[in-house]
Amino acid sequence: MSSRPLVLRIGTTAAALVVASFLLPHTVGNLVVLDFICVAAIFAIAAIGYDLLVGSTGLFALGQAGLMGLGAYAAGYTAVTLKGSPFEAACMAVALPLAATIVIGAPSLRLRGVYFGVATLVFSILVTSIATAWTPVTGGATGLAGIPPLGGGNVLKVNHAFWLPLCGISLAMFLALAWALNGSRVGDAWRTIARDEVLAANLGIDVFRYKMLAFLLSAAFAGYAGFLFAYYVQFLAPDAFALRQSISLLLMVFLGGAGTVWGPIIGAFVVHGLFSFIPSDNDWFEVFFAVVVLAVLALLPRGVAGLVYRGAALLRGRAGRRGPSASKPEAD
Amino acid sequence: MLEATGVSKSFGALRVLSEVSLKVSAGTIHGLIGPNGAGKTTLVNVLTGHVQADGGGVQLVGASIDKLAPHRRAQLGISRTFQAARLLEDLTVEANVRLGQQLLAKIDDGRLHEVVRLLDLEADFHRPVGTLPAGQRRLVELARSLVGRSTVLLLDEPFAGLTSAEIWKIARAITALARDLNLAVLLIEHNLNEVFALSDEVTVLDRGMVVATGPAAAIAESSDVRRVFFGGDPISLSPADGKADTSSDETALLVQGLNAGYGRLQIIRDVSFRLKRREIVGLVGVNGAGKSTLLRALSGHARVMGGVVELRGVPVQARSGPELVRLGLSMVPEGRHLFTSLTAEDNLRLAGLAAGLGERDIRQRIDVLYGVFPQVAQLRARLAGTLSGGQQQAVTIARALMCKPSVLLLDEPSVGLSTLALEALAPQLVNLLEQEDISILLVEQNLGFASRLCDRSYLMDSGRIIEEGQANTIKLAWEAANKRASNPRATFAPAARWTLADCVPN
Repeated sequence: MSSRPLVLRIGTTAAALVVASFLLPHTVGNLVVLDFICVAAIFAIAAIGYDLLVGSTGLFALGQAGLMGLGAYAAGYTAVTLKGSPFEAACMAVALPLAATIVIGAPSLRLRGVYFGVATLVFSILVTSIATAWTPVTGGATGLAGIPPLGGGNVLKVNHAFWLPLCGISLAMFLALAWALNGSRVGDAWRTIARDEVLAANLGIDVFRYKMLAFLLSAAFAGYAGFLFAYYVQFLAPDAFALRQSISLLLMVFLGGAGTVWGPIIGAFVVHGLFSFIPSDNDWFEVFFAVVVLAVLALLPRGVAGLVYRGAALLRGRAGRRGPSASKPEAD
Repeated sequence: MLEATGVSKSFGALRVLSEVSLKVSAGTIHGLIGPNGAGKTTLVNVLTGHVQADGGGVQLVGASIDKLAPHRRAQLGISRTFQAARLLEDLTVEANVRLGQQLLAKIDDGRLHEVVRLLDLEADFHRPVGTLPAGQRRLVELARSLVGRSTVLLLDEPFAGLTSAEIWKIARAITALARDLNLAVLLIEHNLNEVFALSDEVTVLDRGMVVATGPAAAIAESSDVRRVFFGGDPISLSPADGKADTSSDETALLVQGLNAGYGRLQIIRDVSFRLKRREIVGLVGVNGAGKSTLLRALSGHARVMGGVVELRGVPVQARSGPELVRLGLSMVPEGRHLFTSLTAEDNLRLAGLAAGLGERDIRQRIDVLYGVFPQVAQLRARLAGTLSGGQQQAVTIARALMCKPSVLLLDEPSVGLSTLALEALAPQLVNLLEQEDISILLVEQNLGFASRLCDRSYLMDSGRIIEEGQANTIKLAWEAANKRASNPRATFAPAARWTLADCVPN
């Protein structure tokens, strides 16, 4: 454990994020960079939620993009067809994925093995298919247009002075929530389940409830990210939430470092950056994507954050060897 | 405190527990003993809620807990340790110990440090658990159970694979803590010495049934225990009657200074023995002595940590299972493991294919083996699942011979067989030596059966070979060990006199 209390560390980090998000639009003039930061931050929120499930609780799932898509379409439908307020849209965007989570998770999380992973995979495919087929509600393959701009601006020009702080505050909030949970007894329970379910039950941990909690939280994060995405882009197309997006989110978690505080955020920025450079309509994109996934799994099993922590530990070890002090207990 | 009444459980057609009743009182240690497959671990799983009983019930302080999930039972104070310690390897001792309590209640540092001091874990407190030896790992698991608010402690073979110093440390801690913290302890063990020394009461389980239950001293004397653990009265004690000595002076299998185990857990310690060509040698000892592990180490299924194994002069200790089969070492596993939905002949054919024989060789080999085992020839078209235990055993042995081995490792062929079936099996095994030019290492709990077949036997105890000799020598040594088991004071100081004060390391 670090010397500073956890609450203080979370508080200062979140505050720094918020302050930075207010300053950025005024210091960075480049619209491409601002746009990149906004979208990466939105994906980071979904990735943080995903990490609670995949990293902390050790459950393999492939439905995060599906949940995000469900949230986005729920927000879009509320805004366009029901003429609801952004607040109502956000509520719908979180509520629908939560409901879906209960339907998927209640039966499959009780079973061990691959059932849960397969159920989320099927769900992810289902979301894209329904979004394509159910034209009256989702706009079908042509997409859902006409989501009103938030914070002024229009479809062509987003008001970054509004959007960066909104994304920054949202990211700070969700980061703080995930961080606090991971640092609490809930996080201990999750990590114990990830390593040994039988042991967890014998220690008095309600394995099903904690798994469900992680799944619900990941859905809420995804749904909210979907809401932001819908309002930011102001247009929704089914393929934005296809299975590949789930894998891409998974890549963010693993590349950044599963089960670490900063991993999903680092991952979101790196992966989104990587894919922004290469247009996805390039014939070689899929190959490139696959190679990146395999390389990360083979070379960086604990991600960039793991690499950073290891480097820090190495430096600390070297300093320790020079001095007379005894070995210190491991920090988180 | 914890009471099971009439608990029954079947897995498919196999009845694992029938009408088992057991009562563990607060402040006492209750020993649960029984041979492999007696249902001990299943009973523990019923008590913790991981297995649902078909009949009967479990009560905690008089209230039924049958409907409660495992985690609820844990929250009510039922805590268990595992045969192989379950720990979070990358975390420190402290973090692992804290897991026991963190999740249930707030941390009482006073109790935590007292327990850690009692179990002598202070020096390793900040070390990652993954770097600790087996004995220390057990202590960490025990500490984790004790810092919570557990009132019932289920210990699943806490002494397996430990050195006597480590056993001593754990035994001391369990005894003192049971009394001082008023815990109800259920101690499941293979080592009878420790069970009788530590327990207030003992229950003997055999094939899912309670054979005897009562005060430890009375059970230690009972003939039921003797029958369950030492294979009853030997079939015949005149050694190898009518059997010609077929052995030659060539060495078929030579083992020197073998150390082996699973993962970090060392079970086999410095074992050396020799098996001559066309000789049948017994390896006897009570359950948990390390016999099966030794066989697994020899056949490449357990980790060899040191020593030499030579098969006809060729060192083979680093070879894998399949390689060893090709080099001429074949094993008949305990429990037979036939493909029940295939015919007896197809089981043999499959073994031939696995050994890389061609279709013609397989046919030839099967015919040769039908000559050796005429009963298998009669059963060739029957599904293996429909055969009796004795018939299955014969098929299993024939299957192991398909690869034409020079050494056959036979693990507990007598388990589950009637006297009649054993009578039929014995001469066939003896005939094999010459007919097949083979050497047999026979692992047995049933001393009578072993002494009937073998001129020479080795007695194993706690992972070591403690005696070598003819049937009579072994029998005497075994009875001496048995006597030690019945007399707690011979190996252990009187448990009742231990207090917490004794346990505090100076």
